[in-house]
Amino acid sequence: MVDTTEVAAEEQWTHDTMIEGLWRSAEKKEISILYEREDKSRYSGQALEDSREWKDFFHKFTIEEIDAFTDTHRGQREARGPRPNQEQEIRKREDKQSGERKKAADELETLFRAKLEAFEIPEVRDSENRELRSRIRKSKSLTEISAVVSALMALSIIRVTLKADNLLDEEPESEKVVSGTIEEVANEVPKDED
Amino acid sequence: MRTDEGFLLVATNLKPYHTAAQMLADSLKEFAPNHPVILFTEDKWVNDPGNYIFDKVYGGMPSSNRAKLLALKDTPFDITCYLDSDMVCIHSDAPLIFKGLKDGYDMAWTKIRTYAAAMVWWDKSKLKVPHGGMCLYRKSDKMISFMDEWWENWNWKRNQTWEWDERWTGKYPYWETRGWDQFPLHLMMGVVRQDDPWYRPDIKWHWVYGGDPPCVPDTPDWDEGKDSRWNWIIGYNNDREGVSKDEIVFHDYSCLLFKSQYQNGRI
Repeated sequence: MVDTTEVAAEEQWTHDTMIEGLWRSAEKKEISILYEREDKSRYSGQALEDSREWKDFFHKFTIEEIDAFTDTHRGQREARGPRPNQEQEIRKREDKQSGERKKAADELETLFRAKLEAFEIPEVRDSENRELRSRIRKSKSLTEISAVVSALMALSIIRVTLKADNLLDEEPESEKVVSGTIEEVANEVPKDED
Repeated sequence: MRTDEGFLLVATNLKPYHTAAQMLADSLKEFAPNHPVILFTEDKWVNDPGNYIFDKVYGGMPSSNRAKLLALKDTPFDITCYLDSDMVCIHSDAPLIFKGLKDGYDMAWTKIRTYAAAMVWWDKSKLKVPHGGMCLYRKSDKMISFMDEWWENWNWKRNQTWEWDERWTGKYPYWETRGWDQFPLHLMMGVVRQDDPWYRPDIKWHWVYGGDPPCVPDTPDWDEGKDSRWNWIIGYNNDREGVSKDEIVFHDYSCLLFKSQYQNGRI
Protein backbone atom coordinates (compact mmCIF):
# COMPACT_ATOMS: atom_id res chain seq x y z
CA MET A 1 0.00 0.00 0.00
CA VAL A 2 1.23 3.47 -0.76
CA ASP A 3 2.01 5.71 2.15
CA THR A 4 0.79 9.21 1.45
CA THR A 5 1.23 10.56 4.95
CA GLU A 6 4.60 12.07 4.06
CA VAL A 7 4.16 15.16 1.97
CA ALA A 8 6.68 17.62 0.66
CA ALA A 9 4.92 20.61 2.12
CA GLU A 10 7.92 21.89 3.99
CA GLU A 11 10.09 22.38 0.92
CA GLN A 12 9.62 25.20 -1.54
CA TRP A 13 10.06 24.10 -5.13
CA THR A 14 8.09 24.44 -8.29
CA HIS A 15 7.04 22.61 -11.40
CA ASP A 16 4.34 22.84 -14.03
CA THR A 17 0.77 22.06 -13.02
CA MET A 18 0.07 18.37 -12.40
CA ILE A 19 -3.13 17.40 -14.22
CA GLU A 20 -3.41 13.70 -13.54
CA GLY A 21 -1.38 10.55 -12.98
CA LEU A 22 -1.44 6.88 -13.88
CA TRP A 23 0.08 3.85 -12.19
CA ARG A 24 2.90 2.56 -14.36
CA SER A 25 2.69 -0.94 -12.89
CA ALA A 26 0.45 -3.09 -10.75
CA GLU A 27 2.88 -2.72 -7.82
CA LYS A 28 2.00 0.99 -7.65
CA LYS A 29 5.60 2.01 -7.10
CA GLU A 30 5.81 4.45 -10.02
CA ILE A 31 3.44 6.89 -11.69
CA SER A 32 3.28 8.76 -14.96
CA ILE A 33 2.29 12.36 -14.36
CA LEU A 34 0.66 14.61 -16.93
CA TYR A 35 1.89 18.20 -16.57
CA GLU A 36 0.52 21.38 -18.07
CA ARG A 37 2.65 24.41 -18.81
CA GLU A 38 1.60 28.01 -18.46
CA ASP A 39 0.87 28.08 -22.19
CA LYS A 40 -1.46 25.06 -21.76
CA SER A 41 0.84 22.69 -23.64
CA ARG A 42 1.21 19.32 -21.95
CA TYR A 43 3.88 16.68 -21.41
CA SER A 44 4.37 13.68 -19.19
CA GLY A 45 7.00 12.68 -16.65
CA GLN A 46 7.65 9.77 -14.34
CA ALA A 47 7.93 9.72 -10.57
CA LEU A 48 9.27 6.89 -8.43
CA GLU A 49 7.83 6.13 -5.03
CA ASP A 50 9.02 8.60 -2.37
CA SER A 51 10.57 10.99 -4.90
CA ARG A 52 9.75 14.68 -4.50
CA GLU A 53 7.47 14.59 -7.51
CA TRP A 54 5.69 11.55 -6.01
CA LYS A 55 5.15 13.31 -2.69
CA ASP A 56 4.03 16.48 -4.36
CA PHE A 57 1.59 14.58 -6.55
CA PHE A 58 0.02 12.88 -3.56
CA HIS A 59 -0.12 16.19 -1.80
CA LYS A 60 -2.63 17.16 -4.46
CA PHE A 61 -4.28 13.84 -5.39
CA THR A 62 -5.43 10.75 -3.53
CA ILE A 63 -4.75 7.10 -4.27
CA GLU A 64 -8.40 6.67 -5.17
CA GLU A 65 -8.11 9.41 -7.76
CA ILE A 66 -5.07 7.86 -9.41
CA ASP A 67 -6.86 4.49 -9.37
CA ALA A 68 -9.73 6.17 -11.16
CA PHE A 69 -7.42 7.89 -13.69
CA THR A 70 -5.76 4.56 -14.40
CA ASP A 71 -9.07 2.71 -14.81
CA THR A 72 -10.41 5.40 -17.12
CA HIS A 73 -7.34 5.28 -19.32
CA ARG A 74 -7.40 1.48 -19.40
CA GLY A 75 -11.05 1.59 -20.45
CA GLN A 76 -10.33 4.10 -23.20
CA ARG A 77 -7.40 2.01 -24.42
CA GLU A 78 -9.49 -1.15 -24.51
CA ALA A 79 -12.30 0.67 -26.30
CA ARG A 80 -9.87 1.74 -29.02
CA GLY A 81 -8.87 -1.87 -29.55
CA PRO A 82 -5.43 -3.16 -30.50
CA ARG A 83 -3.24 -0.89 -32.58
CA PRO A 84 -2.71 -1.76 -36.20
CA ASN A 85 0.23 -4.08 -36.82
CA GLN A 86 1.95 -1.46 -38.90
CA GLU A 87 2.16 0.89 -35.96
CA GLN A 88 3.59 -1.85 -33.77
CA GLU A 89 6.18 -2.69 -36.39
CA ILE A 90 7.24 0.93 -36.69
CA ARG A 91 7.60 1.18 -32.95
CA LYS A 92 9.53 -2.07 -32.80
CA ARG A 93 11.88 -0.87 -35.53
CA GLU A 94 12.39 2.48 -33.81
CA ASP A 95 13.09 0.73 -30.51
CA LYS A 96 15.62 -1.49 -32.21
CA GLN A 97 17.34 1.48 -33.85
CA SER A 98 17.33 3.36 -30.58
CA GLY A 99 18.86 0.34 -28.84
CA GLU A 100 21.55 0.07 -31.48
CA ARG A 101 22.39 3.77 -31.13
CA LYS A 102 22.56 3.41 -27.36
CA LYS A 103 24.86 0.43 -27.71
CA ALA A 104 27.09 2.32 -30.15
CA ALA A 105 27.19 5.31 -27.77
CA ASP A 106 28.11 3.02 -24.87
CA GLU A 107 30.93 1.52 -26.90
CA LEU A 108 32.23 4.98 -27.79
CA GLU A 109 32.16 5.95 -24.13
CA THR A 110 34.07 2.82 -23.18
CA LEU A 111 36.68 3.54 -25.83
CA PHE A 112 36.99 7.18 -24.77
CA ARG A 113 37.49 6.16 -21.18
CA ALA A 114 40.17 3.64 -22.18
CA LYS A 115 41.94 6.36 -24.16
CA LEU A 116 41.87 8.63 -21.11
CA GLU A 117 43.38 5.82 -19.06
CA ALA A 118 46.07 5.43 -21.72
CA PHE A 119 46.84 9.16 -21.62
CA GLU A 120 47.31 8.93 -17.86
CA ILE A 121 50.13 6.40 -18.26
CA PRO A 122 53.33 8.45 -17.79
CA GLU A 123 54.99 6.97 -20.89
CA VAL A 124 52.04 8.12 -23.00
CA ARG A 125 51.37 11.38 -21.19
CA ASP A 126 54.96 12.56 -21.50
CA SER A 127 55.62 11.19 -24.96
CA GLU A 128 56.26 13.57 -27.79
CA ASN A 129 55.74 10.82 -30.31
CA ARG A 130 52.84 12.51 -32.07
CA GLU A 131 52.18 9.65 -34.43
CA LEU A 132 51.64 7.03 -31.73
CA ARG A 133 49.63 9.40 -29.53
CA SER A 134 47.45 10.15 -32.53
CA ARG A 135 46.96 6.43 -33.11
CA ILE A 136 45.76 6.01 -29.54
CA ARG A 137 43.21 8.81 -30.02
CA LYS A 138 41.97 7.25 -33.24
CA SER A 139 41.91 3.65 -32.02
CA LYS A 140 38.75 1.77 -32.85
CA SER A 141 39.13 -0.97 -30.25
CA LEU A 142 40.54 -1.64 -26.80
CA THR A 143 43.01 -4.07 -28.35
CA GLU A 144 44.33 -1.38 -30.66
CA ILE A 145 44.75 1.02 -27.76
CA SER A 146 46.67 -1.62 -25.80
CA ALA A 147 48.90 -2.38 -28.76
CA VAL A 148 49.87 1.24 -29.34
CA VAL A 149 50.40 1.88 -25.64
CA SER A 150 52.67 -1.18 -25.56
CA ALA A 151 54.67 0.22 -28.46
CA LEU A 152 55.09 3.54 -26.67
CA MET A 153 56.17 1.81 -23.49
CA ALA A 154 58.66 -0.33 -25.40
CA LEU A 155 60.13 2.82 -26.92
CA SER A 156 60.33 4.33 -23.47
CA ILE A 157 62.22 1.29 -22.12
CA ILE A 158 64.64 1.46 -25.03
CA ARG A 159 65.13 5.13 -24.28
CA VAL A 160 65.87 4.43 -20.61
CA THR A 161 68.31 1.69 -21.60
CA LEU A 162 70.13 3.96 -24.00
CA LYS A 163 70.24 6.65 -21.37
CA ALA A 164 71.74 4.26 -18.79
CA ASP A 165 74.44 3.42 -21.28
CA ASN A 166 75.07 7.12 -21.89
CA LEU A 167 73.94 6.69 -25.46
CA LEU A 168 71.17 9.29 -25.12
CA ASP A 169 71.93 12.98 -24.90
CA GLU A 170 69.07 14.95 -23.29
CA GLU A 171 68.08 17.17 -20.38
CA PRO A 172 67.07 15.53 -17.07
CA GLU A 173 63.35 14.99 -16.62
CA SER A 174 61.44 17.57 -14.63
CA GLU A 175 59.57 16.59 -11.48
CA LYS A 176 56.21 15.03 -12.22
CA VAL A 177 52.97 15.93 -10.49
CA VAL A 178 51.24 12.93 -8.98
CA SER A 179 47.50 13.09 -9.48
CA GLY A 180 44.48 10.86 -9.01
CA THR A 181 43.89 8.30 -11.76
CA ILE A 182 40.70 7.82 -13.70
CA GLU A 183 39.96 4.67 -11.74
CA GLU A 184 40.29 6.50 -8.43
CA VAL A 185 37.88 9.15 -9.62
CA ALA A 186 35.45 6.59 -11.00
CA ASN A 187 35.18 5.08 -7.56
CA GLU A 188 34.68 8.41 -5.85
CA VAL A 189 31.29 9.53 -4.63
CA PRO A 190 30.50 12.77 -6.54
CA LYS A 191 31.17 15.73 -4.33
CA ASP A 192 29.54 19.11 -4.41
CA GLU A 193 31.39 22.18 -5.55
CA ASP A 194 33.58 24.30 -3.38
CA MET B 1 51.29 30.30 -35.05
CA ARG B 2 48.37 32.70 -34.94
CA THR B 3 47.81 34.95 -31.95
CA ASP B 4 44.43 36.46 -32.85
CA GLU B 5 42.47 33.20 -32.81
CA GLY B 6 42.82 30.21 -30.54
CA PHE B 7 41.26 27.42 -28.57
CA LEU B 8 40.52 27.81 -24.87
CA LEU B 9 40.13 24.72 -22.68
CA VAL B 10 39.32 24.48 -18.99
CA ALA B 11 40.07 21.51 -16.75
CA THR B 12 39.23 21.56 -13.05
CA ASN B 13 37.64 19.50 -10.31
CA LEU B 14 38.48 16.03 -11.65
CA LYS B 15 41.82 14.72 -12.92
CA PRO B 16 40.20 12.97 -15.89
CA TYR B 17 39.02 16.38 -17.13
CA HIS B 18 42.63 17.47 -17.15
CA THR B 19 43.77 14.32 -18.94
CA ALA B 20 40.93 14.73 -21.43
CA ALA B 21 42.00 18.33 -22.06
CA GLN B 22 45.52 17.09 -22.85
CA MET B 23 44.10 14.57 -25.29
CA LEU B 24 41.89 17.23 -26.89
CA ALA B 25 44.89 19.56 -27.21
CA ASP B 26 46.85 16.72 -28.78
CA SER B 27 44.12 16.33 -31.40
CA LEU B 28 43.93 20.08 -32.03
CA LYS B 29 47.67 20.17 -32.61
CA GLU B 30 47.20 17.53 -35.28
CA PHE B 31 44.27 19.15 -37.09
CA ALA B 32 44.75 22.87 -36.35
CA PRO B 33 48.52 23.22 -35.87
CA ASN B 34 48.57 26.96 -36.51
CA HIS B 35 46.09 27.81 -33.78
CA PRO B 36 47.27 28.07 -30.18
CA VAL B 37 45.64 25.94 -27.50
CA ILE B 38 45.58 27.32 -23.96
CA LEU B 39 44.44 25.72 -20.72
CA PHE B 40 42.95 27.17 -17.55
CA THR B 41 43.31 24.77 -14.65
CA GLU B 42 43.89 24.38 -10.95
CA ASP B 43 47.30 25.24 -9.53
CA LYS B 44 47.94 21.60 -8.59
CA TRP B 45 47.93 20.56 -12.28
CA VAL B 46 49.84 23.51 -13.73
CA ASN B 47 53.15 21.66 -13.73
CA ASP B 48 51.84 18.32 -14.99
CA PRO B 49 54.39 16.98 -17.51
CA GLY B 50 51.65 16.26 -20.04
CA ASN B 51 50.92 19.99 -20.24
CA TYR B 52 53.74 20.40 -22.72
CA ILE B 53 51.06 19.99 -25.37
CA PHE B 54 49.49 23.37 -24.51
CA ASP B 55 50.85 26.67 -25.75
CA LYS B 56 50.10 28.25 -22.41
CA VAL B 57 48.75 27.00 -19.08
CA TYR B 58 47.06 29.32 -16.60
CA GLY B 59 46.52 28.26 -12.99
CA GLY B 60 44.41 29.80 -10.26
CA MET B 61 41.13 28.15 -11.19
CA PRO B 62 38.85 26.97 -8.36
CA SER B 63 38.02 23.30 -7.93
CA SER B 64 34.61 23.77 -9.49
CA ASN B 65 32.97 21.84 -12.30
CA ARG B 66 31.86 25.18 -13.72
CA ALA B 67 35.20 26.99 -13.63
CA LYS B 68 34.94 27.53 -17.36
CA LEU B 69 32.56 30.41 -16.67
CA LEU B 70 35.35 32.11 -14.74
CA ALA B 71 38.05 31.39 -17.31
CA LEU B 72 36.26 32.58 -20.46
CA LYS B 73 36.69 36.28 -19.74
CA ASP B 74 40.47 35.94 -19.53
CA THR B 75 41.02 34.82 -23.09
CA PRO B 76 44.03 36.40 -24.79
CA PHE B 77 42.50 35.88 -28.24
CA ASP B 78 40.40 38.24 -30.37
CA ILE B 79 38.26 35.28 -31.37
CA THR B 80 38.12 32.32 -29.02
CA CYS B 81 36.79 28.87 -29.58
CA TYR B 82 35.83 27.33 -26.26
CA LEU B 83 35.59 23.54 -26.20
CA ASP B 84 34.55 21.29 -23.34
CA SER B 85 37.55 19.23 -22.36
CA ASP B 86 35.77 15.92 -23.00
CA MET B 87 35.88 16.55 -26.73
CA VAL B 88 38.29 15.37 -29.39
CA CYS B 89 39.03 17.05 -32.71
CA ILE B 90 38.78 14.57 -35.57
CA HIS B 91 38.70 16.66 -38.74
CA SER B 92 41.10 18.92 -40.61
CA ASP B 93 38.33 21.53 -41.00
CA ALA B 94 39.00 22.52 -37.37
CA PRO B 95 40.69 25.87 -38.24
CA LEU B 96 37.55 26.85 -40.19
CA ILE B 97 35.56 27.02 -36.98
CA PHE B 98 36.80 30.58 -36.50
CA LYS B 99 35.03 31.59 -39.73
CA GLY B 100 31.79 30.41 -38.13
CA LEU B 101 31.44 33.73 -36.25
CA LYS B 102 30.05 36.51 -38.44
CA ASP B 103 31.39 40.06 -38.45
CA GLY B 104 29.44 42.33 -36.15
CA TYR B 105 28.42 39.51 -33.81
CA ASP B 106 29.72 38.71 -30.37
CA MET B 107 29.08 34.98 -30.05
CA ALA B 108 28.07 31.88 -32.03
CA TRP B 109 26.65 28.65 -30.62
CA THR B 110 25.37 25.31 -31.81
CA LYS B 111 21.87 24.03 -31.09
CA ILE B 112 21.03 21.50 -28.44
CA ARG B 113 19.47 18.35 -29.89
CA THR B 114 16.80 17.61 -27.33
CA TYR B 115 16.62 13.92 -28.23
CA ALA B 116 20.16 13.59 -26.87
CA ALA B 117 19.96 16.22 -24.13
CA ALA B 118 20.43 15.41 -20.47
CA MET B 119 17.80 17.95 -19.46
CA VAL B 120 15.27 20.20 -21.21
CA TRP B 121 13.49 23.23 -19.63
CA TRP B 122 11.95 24.76 -22.71
CA ASP B 123 9.24 23.67 -25.10
CA LYS B 124 11.29 21.53 -27.44
CA SER B 125 8.53 21.51 -30.05
CA LYS B 126 8.74 25.28 -30.39
CA LEU B 127 12.31 26.27 -29.69
CA LYS B 128 15.93 25.22 -30.12
CA VAL B 129 18.49 26.69 -27.75
CA PRO B 130 22.30 26.98 -27.48
CA HIS B 131 24.48 24.15 -26.22
CA GLY B 132 27.02 25.36 -23.65
CA GLY B 133 29.71 22.83 -24.48
CA MET B 134 31.22 24.75 -27.36
CA CYS B 135 31.12 28.37 -28.48
CA LEU B 136 32.86 31.08 -30.41
CA TYR B 137 33.16 34.57 -29.02
CA ARG B 138 34.78 37.85 -29.88
CA LYS B 139 36.75 39.58 -27.16
CA SER B 140 35.40 42.99 -26.17
CA ASP B 141 34.56 44.84 -22.98
CA LYS B 142 30.93 43.78 -23.19
CA MET B 143 31.87 40.15 -23.82
CA ILE B 144 34.22 40.18 -20.84
CA SER B 145 31.40 41.55 -18.70
CA PHE B 146 29.02 38.96 -20.14
CA MET B 147 31.30 36.08 -19.22
CA ASP B 148 31.94 37.65 -15.84
CA GLU B 149 28.20 37.91 -15.22
CA TRP B 150 27.67 34.32 -16.32
CA TRP B 151 29.99 33.18 -13.53
CA GLU B 152 28.46 35.61 -11.02
CA ASN B 153 24.89 34.68 -11.93
CA TRP B 154 25.68 30.98 -11.72
CA ASN B 155 27.17 31.42 -8.26
CA TRP B 156 24.32 33.65 -7.12
CA LYS B 157 21.78 31.02 -8.15
CA ARG B 158 23.77 28.30 -6.43
CA ASN B 159 23.71 30.26 -3.20
CA GLN B 160 19.95 30.85 -3.13
CA THR B 161 17.73 28.76 -0.90
CA TRP B 162 16.73 25.74 -2.97
CA GLU B 163 18.91 27.25 -5.68
CA TRP B 164 15.87 29.15 -6.86
CA ASP B 165 14.50 32.67 -7.12
CA GLU B 166 10.80 33.48 -6.98
CA ARG B 167 10.94 35.39 -10.26
CA TRP B 168 11.40 32.09 -12.13
CA THR B 169 8.42 30.36 -10.53
CA GLY B 170 5.83 29.46 -13.11
CA LYS B 171 8.22 30.35 -15.92
CA TYR B 172 10.74 27.54 -15.68
CA PRO B 173 10.53 24.05 -14.16
CA TYR B 174 12.59 23.75 -10.99
CA TRP B 175 14.18 20.33 -11.24
CA GLU B 176 15.17 20.52 -14.86
CA THR B 177 17.13 23.73 -14.36
CA ARG B 178 18.85 22.84 -11.12
CA GLY B 179 22.63 22.54 -11.35
CA TRP B 180 22.90 23.59 -14.98
CA ASP B 181 25.17 26.48 -15.98
CA GLN B 182 23.19 26.70 -19.21
CA PHE B 183 20.16 27.98 -17.32
CA PRO B 184 21.76 31.34 -16.39
CA LEU B 185 23.29 31.39 -19.87
CA HIS B 186 19.87 31.02 -21.48
CA LEU B 187 18.43 33.75 -19.26
CA MET B 188 21.29 36.06 -20.20
CA MET B 189 20.84 35.28 -23.89
CA GLY B 190 17.07 35.60 -23.68
CA VAL B 191 16.50 32.42 -25.63
CA VAL B 192 13.37 31.18 -23.85
CA ARG B 193 12.05 34.48 -22.48
CA GLN B 194 13.45 37.99 -22.47
CA ASP B 195 11.95 39.34 -19.27
CA ASP B 196 14.66 38.41 -16.81
CA PRO B 197 16.98 41.05 -15.28
CA TRP B 198 19.92 38.93 -16.38
CA TYR B 199 19.00 39.28 -20.08
CA ARG B 200 21.76 41.00 -22.05
CA PRO B 201 20.20 42.40 -25.23
CA ASP B 202 23.48 44.15 -26.04
CA ILE B 203 25.06 40.80 -26.94
CA LYS B 204 24.52 39.79 -30.56
CA TRP B 205 24.77 36.12 -31.31
CA HIS B 206 23.88 33.61 -34.00
CA TRP B 207 24.17 29.92 -34.76
CA VAL B 208 27.58 28.61 -35.82
CA TYR B 209 27.66 28.95 -39.60
CA GLY B 210 23.94 29.74 -39.32
CA GLY B 211 21.39 32.46 -38.85
CA ASP B 212 20.17 34.64 -36.04
CA PRO B 213 18.13 33.41 -33.10
CA PRO B 214 15.50 32.39 -32.31
CA CYS B 215 15.37 28.94 -33.81
CA VAL B 216 11.70 28.10 -34.22
CA PRO B 217 9.92 25.58 -36.44
CA ASP B 218 9.20 28.10 -39.19
CA THR B 219 12.81 29.29 -39.60
CA PRO B 220 15.29 27.59 -41.95
CA ASP B 221 17.55 26.85 -38.98
CA TRP B 222 15.03 24.50 -37.45
CA ASP B 223 16.07 21.51 -39.52
CA GLU B 224 19.55 22.66 -40.39
CA GLY B 225 21.77 20.02 -38.86
CA LYS B 226 25.15 21.07 -40.13
CA ASP B 227 26.03 23.08 -37.04
CA SER B 228 26.13 19.81 -35.15
CA ARG B 229 29.32 18.76 -36.93
CA TRP B 230 31.12 21.44 -34.89
CA ASN B 231 29.78 20.14 -31.58
CA TRP B 232 28.85 16.52 -32.04
CA ILE B 233 27.52 15.08 -28.80
CA ILE B 234 27.62 11.38 -28.15
CA GLY B 235 24.13 10.08 -28.89
CA TYR B 236 23.49 12.33 -31.90
CA ASN B 237 21.96 10.54 -34.87
CA ASN B 238 23.86 10.86 -38.16
CA ASP B 239 20.79 10.19 -40.30
CA ARG B 240 18.66 12.63 -38.39
CA GLU B 241 21.30 15.36 -38.54
CA GLY B 242 22.28 14.73 -42.14
CA VAL B 243 25.91 14.65 -41.02
CA SER B 244 28.14 11.69 -41.87
CA LYS B 245 30.75 10.42 -39.44
CA ASP B 246 33.45 11.77 -41.76
CA GLU B 247 32.10 15.32 -41.43
CA ILE B 248 32.27 15.57 -37.64
CA VAL B 249 34.91 18.08 -36.51
CA PHE B 250 34.62 18.23 -32.72
CA HIS B 251 33.26 15.11 -31.08
CA ASP B 252 32.07 15.26 -27.48
CA TYR B 253 32.40 12.04 -25.50
CA SER B 254 30.81 13.05 -22.21
CA CYS B 255 30.87 9.68 -20.50
CA LEU B 256 29.15 8.59 -17.31
CA LEU B 257 32.27 9.42 -15.37
CA PHE B 258 31.74 13.08 -16.19
CA LYS B 259 27.96 13.07 -16.27
CA SER B 260 27.86 12.13 -12.60
CA GLN B 261 29.76 15.32 -11.93
CA TYR B 262 27.57 17.47 -14.18
CA GLN B 263 24.74 16.51 -11.88
CA ASN B 264 26.49 17.75 -8.74
CA GLY B 265 23.90 19.09 -6.41
CA ARG B 266 21.04 17.90 -8.55
CA ILE B 267 20.61 14.46 -7.05
